[in-house]
Amino acid sequence: MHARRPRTAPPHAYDLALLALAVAACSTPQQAAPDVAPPGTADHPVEVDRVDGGRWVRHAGGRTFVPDGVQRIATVGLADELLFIGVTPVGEVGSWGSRFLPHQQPFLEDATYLGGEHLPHAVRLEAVFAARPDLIIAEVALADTARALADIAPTIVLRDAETHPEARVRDLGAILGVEARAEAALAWRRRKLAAAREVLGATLDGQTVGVLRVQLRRLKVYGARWFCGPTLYDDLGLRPPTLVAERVGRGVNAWLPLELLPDFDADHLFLMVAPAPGIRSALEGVAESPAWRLMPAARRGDVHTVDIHHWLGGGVMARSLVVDDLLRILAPEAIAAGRFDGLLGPRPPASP
Amino acid sequence: MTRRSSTGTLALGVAVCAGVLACAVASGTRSVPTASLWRSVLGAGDPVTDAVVLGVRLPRVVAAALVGAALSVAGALMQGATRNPLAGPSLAGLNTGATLAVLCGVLWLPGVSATAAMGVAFVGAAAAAAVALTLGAFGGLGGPSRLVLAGATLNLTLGAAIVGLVVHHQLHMDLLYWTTGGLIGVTWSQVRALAPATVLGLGLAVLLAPSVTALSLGDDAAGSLGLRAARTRALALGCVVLLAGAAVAVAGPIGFVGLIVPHLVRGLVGGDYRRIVPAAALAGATLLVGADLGVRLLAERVDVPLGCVTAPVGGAAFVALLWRGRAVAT
Repeated sequence: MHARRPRTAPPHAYDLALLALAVAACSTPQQAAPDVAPPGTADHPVEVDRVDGGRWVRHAGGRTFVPDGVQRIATVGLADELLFIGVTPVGEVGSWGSRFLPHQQPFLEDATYLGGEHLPHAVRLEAVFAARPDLIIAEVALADTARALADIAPTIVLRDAETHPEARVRDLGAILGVEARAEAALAWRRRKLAAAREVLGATLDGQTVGVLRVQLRRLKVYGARWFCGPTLYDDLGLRPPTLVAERVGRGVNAWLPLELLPDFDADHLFLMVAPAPGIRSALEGVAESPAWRLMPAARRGDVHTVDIHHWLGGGVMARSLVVDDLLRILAPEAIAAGRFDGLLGPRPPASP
Repeated sequence: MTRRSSTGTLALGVAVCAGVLACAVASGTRSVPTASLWRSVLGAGDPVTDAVVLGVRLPRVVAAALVGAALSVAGALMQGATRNPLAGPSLAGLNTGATLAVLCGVLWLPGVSATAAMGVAFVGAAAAAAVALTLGAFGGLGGPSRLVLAGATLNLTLGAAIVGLVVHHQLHMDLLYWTTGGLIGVTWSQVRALAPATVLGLGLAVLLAPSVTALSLGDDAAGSLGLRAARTRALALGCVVLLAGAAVAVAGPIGFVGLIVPHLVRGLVGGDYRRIVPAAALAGATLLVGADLGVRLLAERVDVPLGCVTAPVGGAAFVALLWRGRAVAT
């Protein structure tokens, strides 16, 4: 399974219908025409009106009053972005089993597990209620879920955090009144990306970097738009293998037949291997194929297994850790030289 | 059907099977010129073509042929030995039992080898067969549909256990494909594990075929021919478990092949299992290699599991058999 569903992946017809219902149910008559993305989606920031005692926030799910001094913030799918600006949620949904993503776990020791995020009704409303949130910030596609959350506490709906992480981090800063902290965290992120882009650009010198996921009996190649793809190919400007564009296009991922392995022209290959039973054996089975051994990366011995949790995480902290992995594997001398002192890790070291 | 005409039918079957196998080796996602293909087959190919043809396509085609033959012959033996036209490894729950067993093996025996997975599958298939046959064929009540009902109950129960394990262990995407059956990514090591069990099972089936023919006439008739019905039936069902378990361990549950193919070949070569067994092996191999080729060609960009193709096709054929009433006469 994916650690996180693509937050803005082209929805299925079912999702579209529910999304339309959500917009219809939550929008006020004054809202923009349907073809204009609502606040809190894509690159449209939330709209915040300060008033005595709090602020009104216009967001993807409508308009919500956020009182001053909210302490207990529960989230559905945005823990990465909250933690990135130093806000620890009291509850979050989980992935990859019953708990939070491994890189979030140290920060969420006292948080309540609110259920899974993959199934339409996987958010456990009883757990959300038990977490006693003052405010819920959720990335949910289903109107029913958003409405149910709003019955528990004021709920703000944000979307597209995976494709527009900086916009969502700024939104969270504006919603919680910590704009300066959000900007500082984003500045740290930009410094890190700029340094990594420079170092990796010089190290790789145009060589290609590809990502495959090993599953039982099949390999999936991941594209440039989702999960680790934007970090590799947009943030860091790395070159994808030709087959990525050919097979994945603008989608999330695509099945890669073994016959095409010799054509998978990745100079550096990163393998996402889930900690699921049988997957290691599956990888060994694939690796015994002559077609695997003909891949450029395999011929060079440049195949690296990485932690699937943050490579498929999609959140802003997960993306930061993907950069760390790339640096450790491809440019360890730059780290040893202190080039990235203060820039490694999932979030700025000074985060409270 | 005369011996001469059935021999001609078998010869035609061999030719068709060889043709489909050749097409399957020659076709795939990557275009390989015929000259390069032949050079590879003759041991003088370039590394990429060798890797694609000999390393990827050939094990998959061989596995498809073995699995198709195994499931079809298992179905034929099961129908003959139980005198139940609706018997088959998938409908009777054998495939699901083997699938659950392999899933348990994968979950609790990390790094389980292909050969060990096969052993686990045999256990699952044998347990499911024992339960289904106890509930169905030997229950003493009802007709052929009783085994189907017992199998349906088993399939539902064991299927729920499979889904429960997959959900509990958060294995949806990683194991989903395997639990729907298919031959993508089959390697030579799996073929090496599959082949001996399948060849052994097919050999046993050939040896048992005359006795199964007698058994298909009824226990009394078999007894009058000096046959020990219970012993023959047990041997035949052991053979079924061997064949179905081996097939499921490599390909996962592929539905309906074992049910439909015996009926199809019975219409071509008659009711003598000495002809039905080899014909079912040929037809099953041809059908599954062809279906897998179809999946590969039609779904070049979407990895449609083979079970998703054989199940609706087999289901439609099953309904047609029931509709025409042919299934009643083994």
